[in-house]
Amino acid sequence: MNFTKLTAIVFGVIFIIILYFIIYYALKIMYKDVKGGGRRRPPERKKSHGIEIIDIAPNSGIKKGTVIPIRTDITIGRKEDNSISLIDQHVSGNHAKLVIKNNLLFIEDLNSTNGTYVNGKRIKGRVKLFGQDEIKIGTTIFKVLG
Amino acid sequence: MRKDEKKLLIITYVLCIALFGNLAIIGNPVDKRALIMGVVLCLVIGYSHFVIRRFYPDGDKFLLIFASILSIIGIAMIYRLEPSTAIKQVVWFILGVIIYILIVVLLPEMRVLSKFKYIYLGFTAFFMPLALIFGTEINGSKNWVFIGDIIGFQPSEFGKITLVLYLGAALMNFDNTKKGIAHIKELIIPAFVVMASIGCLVLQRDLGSALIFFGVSLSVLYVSTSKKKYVFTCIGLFSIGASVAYKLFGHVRQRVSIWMNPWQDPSGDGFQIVEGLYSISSGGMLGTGLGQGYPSFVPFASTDYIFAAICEEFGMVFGIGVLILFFLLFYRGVRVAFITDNKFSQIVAVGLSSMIACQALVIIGGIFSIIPLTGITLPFVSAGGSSILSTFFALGILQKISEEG
Repeated sequence: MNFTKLTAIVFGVIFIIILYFIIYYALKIMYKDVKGGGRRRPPERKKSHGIEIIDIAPNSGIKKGTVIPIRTDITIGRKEDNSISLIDQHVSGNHAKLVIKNNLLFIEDLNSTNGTYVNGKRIKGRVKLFGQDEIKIGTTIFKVLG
Repeated sequence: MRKDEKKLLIITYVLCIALFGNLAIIGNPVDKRALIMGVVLCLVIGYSHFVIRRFYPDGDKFLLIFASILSIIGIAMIYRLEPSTAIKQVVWFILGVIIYILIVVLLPEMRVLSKFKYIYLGFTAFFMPLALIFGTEINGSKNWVFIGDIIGFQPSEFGKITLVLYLGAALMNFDNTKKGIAHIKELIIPAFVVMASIGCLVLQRDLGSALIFFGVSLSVLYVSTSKKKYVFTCIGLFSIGASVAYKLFGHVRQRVSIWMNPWQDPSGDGFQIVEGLYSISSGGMLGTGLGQGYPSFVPFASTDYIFAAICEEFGMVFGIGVLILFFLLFYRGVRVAFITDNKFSQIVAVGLSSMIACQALVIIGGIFSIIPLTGITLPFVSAGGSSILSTFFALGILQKISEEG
């Protein structure tokens, strides 16, 4: 058996081993994924987001200066099933939604009657938020921390 | 998750270096170009993975890794067969990755994209007959379009993607609660578009692509309607269409008769299949070793028949591994459809991943003479610019969808 034949066999076996290692790890990942129900767990985030309530009507049940951390999607509206429910007749049932995507914070207006304002401008659809932005929903004003 | 991902990436680098290291050693003297190529590929994969990981952490990170592994294996095999083609292939691969990242960066959200139904229809109607009118005949099928003398591409590769997008936009509002005639009203126009596209392909003698279009449309139809009767209707129509095509076109009859008995004329019509089967069997379980076999005896060893070349030199076991990789890629693609709530995204994700899977099955089935052989590329692995670019385009859309959910 000469040298080239030997290297060919050795390399051939190495390739097969590496390829099946790749498949093994991929299947392991797949197994974990299937065990988790296929749904995505909230991924670990380096940057945290939050909003602070600057101004709110009295007797609404939420104090001024409350800081709300945002980890998953947060809905704002008058109805009880929202993450933040505001007792305010200028707020629609489902008014707006705060979304985190790729570690960036977005606000989305859910076709509210009186609109959502970011820095004084009425928004349409989904808008990216930056630190210190002011969000006005009804008579409530939020500030984005960042 | 993070740890497994890192391990997977490291083994990918190891595979890349081992493959190109072996290619360098079999050259006499040691081939430095192969080593440089391996390092360049590792850098491209590492950098693109870093970009996706850093700026789009919500997306799927494994789609790109699997595609890269398949591409590495393909480029290594092509380098062993035709070094000059392999350099082109590396350039195509890099361009493909760039397109993939650009799509992820630039494409608007899928909800916005779902509104452009007629634009997709327009593009499909533009791409599909394009080769029929301006096409140049190469290797018996008229599916190439040349702009000038040098730049040539296969319009059907891009037509596939626009067709999937169109079907997604057309069938996203399909109402399952209605009955009978209302369904047919909704389905008749998409059905006509699909039939016209397949008709164009059959006239171009691009039977492989026609088969893929059928497979993709069928899976999209089943996913969006979840009614078996439409699937059976489709299969019925397909068998009628296939028998009509068999009667009308000589090249269809020829393909089928070669498939029925390739040994009838092993040096003429059946040459490619017979030579391919010899090539695979001479490799055996563990292969002859890179550079030790004679895969270039088979016509089109670097494009359509690359799987036979891989089986010969790397062995059957490795070939099965490549098939499993395709399965994993398919699984990642279909998983994307699960995590999103948007119907358009779901249909497009299923359509695009079944497109890749179908393409792999049709050509590998053809090589092993399980179905009639039709010349198409093995996605990511085969040499070919249009194929690489369009598959990475599809992968980019899948990646974009995976950020939802």
